[in-house]
Amino acid sequence: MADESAEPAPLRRHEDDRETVAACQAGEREAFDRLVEKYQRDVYRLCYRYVNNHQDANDMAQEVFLKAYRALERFRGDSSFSTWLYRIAVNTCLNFRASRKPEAGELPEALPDKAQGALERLERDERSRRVREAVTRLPEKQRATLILKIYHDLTHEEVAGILGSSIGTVKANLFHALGNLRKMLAAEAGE
Amino acid sequence: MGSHVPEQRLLDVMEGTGADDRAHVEACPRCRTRLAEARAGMALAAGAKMPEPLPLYWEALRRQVRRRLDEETVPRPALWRRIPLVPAVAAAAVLAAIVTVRPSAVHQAVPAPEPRLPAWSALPPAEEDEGLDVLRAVAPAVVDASPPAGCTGMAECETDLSDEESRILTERLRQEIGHGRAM
Repeated sequence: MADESAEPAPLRRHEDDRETVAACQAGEREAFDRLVEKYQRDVYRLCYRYVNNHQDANDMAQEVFLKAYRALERFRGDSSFSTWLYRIAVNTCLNFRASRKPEAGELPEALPDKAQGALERLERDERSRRVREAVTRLPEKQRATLILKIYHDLTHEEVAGILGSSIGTVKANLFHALGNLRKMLAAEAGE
Repeated sequence: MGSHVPEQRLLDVMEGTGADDRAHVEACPRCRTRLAEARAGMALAAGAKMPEPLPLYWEALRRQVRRRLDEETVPRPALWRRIPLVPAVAAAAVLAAIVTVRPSAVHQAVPAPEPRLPAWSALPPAEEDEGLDVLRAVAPAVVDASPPAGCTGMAECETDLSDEESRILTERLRQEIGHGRAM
């Protein structure tokens, strides 16, 4: 298993899923389990970044896989499975209306780094929390673009494929998202 | 200063490409400010780690997905539902004609001493036969339908069946009624 704290690998590093997908389409449930195992971190992290709380992210991640399972029959391989799955995940996120606020301490921010001072760690965690919370307030397309580009390390082309946008739109949305994020956080800090 | 650099090209400058616009950005306070804000936003976003669930969570997530898939997996339909629709409906139509439309016409039209539908003799009386409920439920739609070309009514079509066709029809009806009981 990969490092638990690592961010998701980009799509282009995902190995070909054609055989596993074909097995799923032939009715092999274990093959779908393998796809869930392979992509659950990416999907969960995407959902978490979108809603910034574990319970909703967990519900959404399950929903993504259920939708994917139901739709797998119609998957024809025009895009890679991972792009297709990301598309389902983003649509699930876009349609989701947050029902919960993040609860303090619902998940540990990160494993303690012994080399770091406690105060420094608290400050960093608080900063991360504020940024994540600000990301959830970005307009939806900007939010999706920023999450896919920054936290999933996808190329502009991959993000465009997932969102069904042009590359130019992806770049413009990302640029707006970054500027807006900075402005929101500066306003909160009273700058 | 001329028009400002659009966002997508400012992003190219930020990512180290967009050489054509670099000179403009350096000279234009507005574009420089926008670029600086985006860079600051990038630094903030990139530095924002997210909390990781415990390692055991991933197995729990898989289990939850499996359970929900199990719950919603539709059981295969009963055998009688998988019988090809056309022959089943045809059989039901003929039976409906016999039972509900013109029962006497069929008997009058069968001159042979051997009954055309011998299987019926083994069946319980119609009022006790639960299988007929199944067929009655199907019958209205087909009884109202136009008869096939060359027939003036469903009963007439039935009387035109050959012995072999009658035998097949009998088998079909037996299956239908048998499955109807099993429901």
